[in-house]
Amino acid sequence: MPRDLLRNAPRLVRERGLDRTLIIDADVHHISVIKFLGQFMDAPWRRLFETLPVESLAPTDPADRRVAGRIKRPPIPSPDPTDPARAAHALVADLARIGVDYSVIFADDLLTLSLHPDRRFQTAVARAYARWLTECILPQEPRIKAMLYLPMVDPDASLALIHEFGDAAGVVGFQVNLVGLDQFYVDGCARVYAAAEERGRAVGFHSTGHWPRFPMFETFLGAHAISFPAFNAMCLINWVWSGMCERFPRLRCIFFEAGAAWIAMLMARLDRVYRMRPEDAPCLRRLPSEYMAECFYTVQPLEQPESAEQLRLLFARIGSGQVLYASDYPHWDFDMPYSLSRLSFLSRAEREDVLALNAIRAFGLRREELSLVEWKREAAARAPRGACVDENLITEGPA
Amino acid sequence: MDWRAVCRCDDVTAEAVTVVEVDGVEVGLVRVGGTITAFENICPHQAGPVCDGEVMGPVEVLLDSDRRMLDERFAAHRRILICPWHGYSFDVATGECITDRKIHLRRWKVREDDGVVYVTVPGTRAAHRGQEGSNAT
Repeated sequence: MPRDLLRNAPRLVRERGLDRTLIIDADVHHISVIKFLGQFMDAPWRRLFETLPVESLAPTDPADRRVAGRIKRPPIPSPDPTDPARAAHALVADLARIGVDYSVIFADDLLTLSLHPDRRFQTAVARAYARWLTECILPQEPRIKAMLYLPMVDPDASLALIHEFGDAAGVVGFQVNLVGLDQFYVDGCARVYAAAEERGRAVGFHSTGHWPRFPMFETFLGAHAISFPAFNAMCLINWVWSGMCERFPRLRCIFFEAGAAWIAMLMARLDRVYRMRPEDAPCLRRLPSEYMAECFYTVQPLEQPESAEQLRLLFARIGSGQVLYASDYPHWDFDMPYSLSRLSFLSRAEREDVLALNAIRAFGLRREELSLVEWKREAAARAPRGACVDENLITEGPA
Repeated sequence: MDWRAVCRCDDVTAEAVTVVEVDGVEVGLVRVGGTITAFENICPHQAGPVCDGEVMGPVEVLLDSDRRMLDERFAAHRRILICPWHGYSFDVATGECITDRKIHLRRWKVREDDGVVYVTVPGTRAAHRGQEGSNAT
């Protein structure tokens, strides 16, 4: 019988003092849902989903993310039509063991949906995914929050999706998947961003390491190394130059999964060229880096330079108040929450900001509605009076 | 020296790690040449159960005289243990990470006697943690 691959995690969470600290994971992937979505579609699309093999539904990528079986994960149950939330509950159980109290999820196989050439297909899948989440998952599993997929090739469909599902409980925002976008739709999608802003929902921009989009690389490693920061940077460049932060000042933007180093590079580069050619970006009233400093970033997979001082400088440039903890579990390069506890330059309060408070701001959550998972609550209850870390908002202990 | 009997010598092979538990601490045993090495089952990268991983040769490249790539193969002279969480790889002879020499697996003393494998218990968990800081990313 295979051994439990997560068995070290709870002890590490306790030893790092995170068992009494609220942790919100901004980026969790529940894998392989697309075949399951057919039952949430209208009849013609349902028929298509019932007849096509799964490899014809999602754009494929030949990359081997498990390195010929060297990297292993606990098995995740496939979606069960008779118990749609089963896989989500199992994922939450795994994440609770690594200390995560709330997870913001996004479907793995929808990360490449924007590559699908048929905009009607994208829209049908996006709507089915929103239905599945809002009907079957979010009402049953309060520890899961979700960002809905926006088919940005069709702004009208995206807008309709926001109107139909954007106010559902547990929906904290919308995802734009960058890997398939050849053009960044700014004005055409202004109504979409306005609708998200009106509802106080975040908009996330998420890439993936899709190897076929980078045919110049002979290895998946090459495509993976540059795909995330490249797509995030291209999107953010368009976002800043188009003055979106001026046009939608209350819209909270989150850029996912590209580490931290690219952000400082882009800030420096955009400021330099803007000072010479402000005419090219007439919407801007401040330096590009000042707008970028108002966006949120998940910095997984966090770089591991020789010196922690290099990371300290990156965090100082980005602002630790804008960084969200994200595991990216169960992907091959996921980061454990306690890996952040080793960033000694962060104060305890800053670390707790990264682990939860920043996410509460970014996703518009209510702190008073959030609680630790059961095993952490029990650990907090067992702690002697006064043993809780401090009176900080996000640390729980006996009253 | 507090030696504990943990398994039979025949239980330990060169092909996979045998994981045993000593005072609540998991230790992985693997045969390297004629001897056995013992590592604590915690990856110094992000604390994954490294000894649950695969043992194999690292991949090496063969170049021809023009330094073109001829082929790839598993190296025969070296064995590595690969953490199943993130793929960090460690030389089973030394415990050293092959991509980051600053980190290494914690080794335990081990001996074989009359067909039985013994390991030492090198102190408390607190003592382990005290050494972990410099060994972590």
